[in-house]
Amino acid sequence: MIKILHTSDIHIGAKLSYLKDKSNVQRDQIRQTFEKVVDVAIEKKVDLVAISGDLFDNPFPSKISINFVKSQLEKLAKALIKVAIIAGNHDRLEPGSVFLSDEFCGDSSNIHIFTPENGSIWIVEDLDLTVYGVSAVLQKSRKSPLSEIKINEKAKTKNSVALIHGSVNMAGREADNYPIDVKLLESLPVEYVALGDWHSRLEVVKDKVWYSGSPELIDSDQKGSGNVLLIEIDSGTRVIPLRVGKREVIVQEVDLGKYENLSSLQKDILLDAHENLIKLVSIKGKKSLSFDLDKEELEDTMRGKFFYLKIADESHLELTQEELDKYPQELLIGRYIKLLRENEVEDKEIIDEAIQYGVKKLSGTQKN
Amino acid sequence: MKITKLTIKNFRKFKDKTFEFSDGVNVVQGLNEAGKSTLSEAILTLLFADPTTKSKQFFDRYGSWDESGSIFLQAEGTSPLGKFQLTKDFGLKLAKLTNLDTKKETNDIKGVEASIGQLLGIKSVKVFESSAFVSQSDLARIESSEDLVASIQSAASAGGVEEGVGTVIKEIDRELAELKKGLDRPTNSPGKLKELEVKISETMQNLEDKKQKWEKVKSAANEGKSSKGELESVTEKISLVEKQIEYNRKFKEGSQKIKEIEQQIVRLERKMSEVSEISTQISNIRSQIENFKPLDSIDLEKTAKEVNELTGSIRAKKETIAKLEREEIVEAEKPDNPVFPRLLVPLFFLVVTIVLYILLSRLDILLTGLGITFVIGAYMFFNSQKGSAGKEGRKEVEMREKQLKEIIEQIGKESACLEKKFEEIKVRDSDEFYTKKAKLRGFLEERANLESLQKGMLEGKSLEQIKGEQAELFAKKKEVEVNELTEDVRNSNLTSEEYLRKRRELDTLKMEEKRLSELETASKVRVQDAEISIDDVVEEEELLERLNEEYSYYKKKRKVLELVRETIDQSIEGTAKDAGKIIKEFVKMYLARLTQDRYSDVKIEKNLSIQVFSKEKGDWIDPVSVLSKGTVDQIYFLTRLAILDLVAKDSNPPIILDDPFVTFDETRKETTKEILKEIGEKHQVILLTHHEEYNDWGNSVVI
Repeated sequence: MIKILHTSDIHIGAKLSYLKDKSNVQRDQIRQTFEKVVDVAIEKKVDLVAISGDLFDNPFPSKISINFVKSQLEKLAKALIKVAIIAGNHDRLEPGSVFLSDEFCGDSSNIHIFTPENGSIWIVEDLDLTVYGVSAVLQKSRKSPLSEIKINEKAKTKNSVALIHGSVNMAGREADNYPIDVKLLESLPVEYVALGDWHSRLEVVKDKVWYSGSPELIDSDQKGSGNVLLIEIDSGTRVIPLRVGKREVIVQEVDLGKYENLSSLQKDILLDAHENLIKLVSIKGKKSLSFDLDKEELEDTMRGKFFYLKIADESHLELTQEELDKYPQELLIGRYIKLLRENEVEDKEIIDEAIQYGVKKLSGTQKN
Repeated sequence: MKITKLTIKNFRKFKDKTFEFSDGVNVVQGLNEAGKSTLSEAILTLLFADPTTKSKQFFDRYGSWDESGSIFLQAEGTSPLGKFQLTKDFGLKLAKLTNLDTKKETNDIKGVEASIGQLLGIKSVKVFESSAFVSQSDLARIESSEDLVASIQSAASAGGVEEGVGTVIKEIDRELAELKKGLDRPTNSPGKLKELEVKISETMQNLEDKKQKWEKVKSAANEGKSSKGELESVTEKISLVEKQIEYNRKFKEGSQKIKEIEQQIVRLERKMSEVSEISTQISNIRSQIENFKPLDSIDLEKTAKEVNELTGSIRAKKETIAKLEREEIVEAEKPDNPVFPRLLVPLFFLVVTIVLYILLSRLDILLTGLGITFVIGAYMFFNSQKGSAGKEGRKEVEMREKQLKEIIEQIGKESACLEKKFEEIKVRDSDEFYTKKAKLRGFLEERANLESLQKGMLEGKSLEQIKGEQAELFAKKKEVEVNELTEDVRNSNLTSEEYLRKRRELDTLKMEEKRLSELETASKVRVQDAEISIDDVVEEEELLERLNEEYSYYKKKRKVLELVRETIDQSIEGTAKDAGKIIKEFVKMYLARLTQDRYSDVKIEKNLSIQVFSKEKGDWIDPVSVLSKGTVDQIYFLTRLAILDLVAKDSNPPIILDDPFVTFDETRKETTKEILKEIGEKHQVILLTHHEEYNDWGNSVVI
């Protein structure tokens, strides 16, 4: 039986702007999770680690990143685990890029990086396994990476697997960058295809073609990240997902109408809070004049309960009848509100804020 | 709208109280402060509070003081729509509004609220409070023009900020100024906008710097890579050219070697042929010498010596014989016998022998002849001797004959020896011997010469050896051809022109190699020394994004503040216009009366400040500065009523006054009473007071 650990899209060094001042922490976590992946591979005594692209976020990563990865790969080498790597469109094979440099060249016979020079076939004799792999050379390409794979019928090993980086045409997703046809994957004469590029784990062809997804969360829209795949190839192929990621992400949409006051809203947001949760809340719906939604204040209050919390206020102001009654249009505040509601120049957001702010000030309910 | 009856149960100090009101001015006397506020609050609560409220605060505030029973409020009244009854039960959480004429009931809270709003013309408690409700403190507050303006503004903003809109505007201006600090003029403590602008521009610069540095690192790595690549190709080229030059040299060397070897071979060949020629000659001579057998195998010199000796000896002896014979002859001649004829015969025989020997080369003949000669000679001699002289002569003759005999014997012996020798060596005679010897000697010498020449040529080696050498040379040549003059080498044969060109090419390439190697080293150093990595760029980009987000936030804030500011201005202007109009009407209506005709006109400024026209001064002046506090208060009171009408329009809700005229003097009170009565024609006025003087102001309401 051959055991393979499939991972991809680690994106070491990636920019994580949306996490603001926590971006460095998460970048560090990405590295730590990669270390965990290596530890898992060693613990599970796999024969081969397949990295299907985008190990680095950039073709020219920093020395620190490179040295870190090298030390991890050394751990695998020590444990006599082989490693197959293809370049993704982020750490693509540009002239002078990391995978073409001396850093990784001919490290040891246990690491194989697929380049146009050494072709798309790696025959691992001690495992009786053929590994096919295609590295990306451009950031964007309309060319299918499958065209680079030359299936070697003659040198028949017992098993064969393929590492490909690209996007698949399926389930409402556009195969835009390095497109791969699912049907061609189905007919590939290999036991398993390790795909890379998409950050969420996904089974593309049952028990045969999978995206492992990123082992650690990178973007907020990837709920399916945080996994690696353990592949066991025996008489058939078995795919076992393993969770390795630390952070979770929840994107929550909140309808303001459901909440009477700020504290009940707060309670709802805090419901599933934990220190490794990244929560992006978007507040929608109508808010009345008196519903004082200061999203900054809200964030500040609840921030500590999450790894990262962001609240976006997409609600819009709708004065209740009571509120409108309170401010007759003949008088100052009523007139003020009327003027703003009739304002067609500014953005609704600005108008809403001006109404709330102005009324607060003019009615003396906020001495600011 | 007018309230005719009011029932209050379990509301603060009122356990169960009913009040009856009439149109016009109602004076409720006898209430202390608590009572007054309780009554007014009860009215407000009945009109505006939500009976379903569960607010603890509410019940704490308004609940019965003896804490028993639930709040029940009810009022009956009249309105343009007919008589009505309004009930709010805070215990049963009910509200009911019944039109007593049409018997129409409204039971839902919202419906009741709406109806009340319609009846009053005012939908909010705050608005009611700030317009229809005038208290003592409202008037007491006005000490200055600013207070007046503020109070009017407050009323005009439906109970808005008490310090006046001006304060609000000031605050907003301050906040805006704070934000914008540093944008137009440099300052030490810039506002958020400027601060962020500066930070952003700095960060952008840093980012550009870092990006450029990183690009340099990248291109250095690239250059390093490409110059490494170039270097490799140049090095390859160099080794190619060097190889060509090397091969060319090898070719020349090899060819030279071969040439030398060939020369050697040729030399050897020549030598060998010469040697062989000599061998042939030698062989020829040998065969010639063969002819001289067995002379070739004897010691010629020794033999020659012997022969010489022998022939010499023989000759000598012969000469002796001859001498003796001559002597004999002489003796014989003495008179005697003609020797000469007698000698002639032996001589003749001797000559013949020799001739025969010469002709036939037969030793036996020679010997025979000689023997005959001898005999004859002897005969002759003896014959002659007959005639010879006596005994002495005969003794001499005998001696001579003995000598002769000996000599002849010796000669015979020697001749025999000679003959034997000649036989041995197969010559006929010594002539032949000497001839042969000379010839042989000649041959031998020649042979010896040739042999020594040959030896010299062979240089001590044998011909086999030389052949061997030659074979070796051939082998060597072959080796050189195979090993040194390979195909590649052969193909690298350069002419001297080509060679020069190649050398120049090599020099150029070597310079290029040096240059590229230096480049590569330099770029390696650059890459190693580079402090900037993509991580730095990423961090800077993230920082920039954060700053930009913050900047957007503050930009938005500024926009909001500016909009608020602008709109407030517009609102004040509008309100000032509308409210101002009606205030002007109102105040103007009563101003002359209030000021004893000193001031009859009023105008409202944009900020709702009031100015009165002084007939005396013939100009508009600030009332607070010229009018008494009381008058100002009255004016304020009028503005309040004006604003009420502005809002409630024709609903004419009841006006509730909580002892506002306390500070008025008698005269003022009089005028106010009159004004109030007039107002009372439109609005129901409920005046709460605990002073006695108001008895004749209107209907007395007894508690």
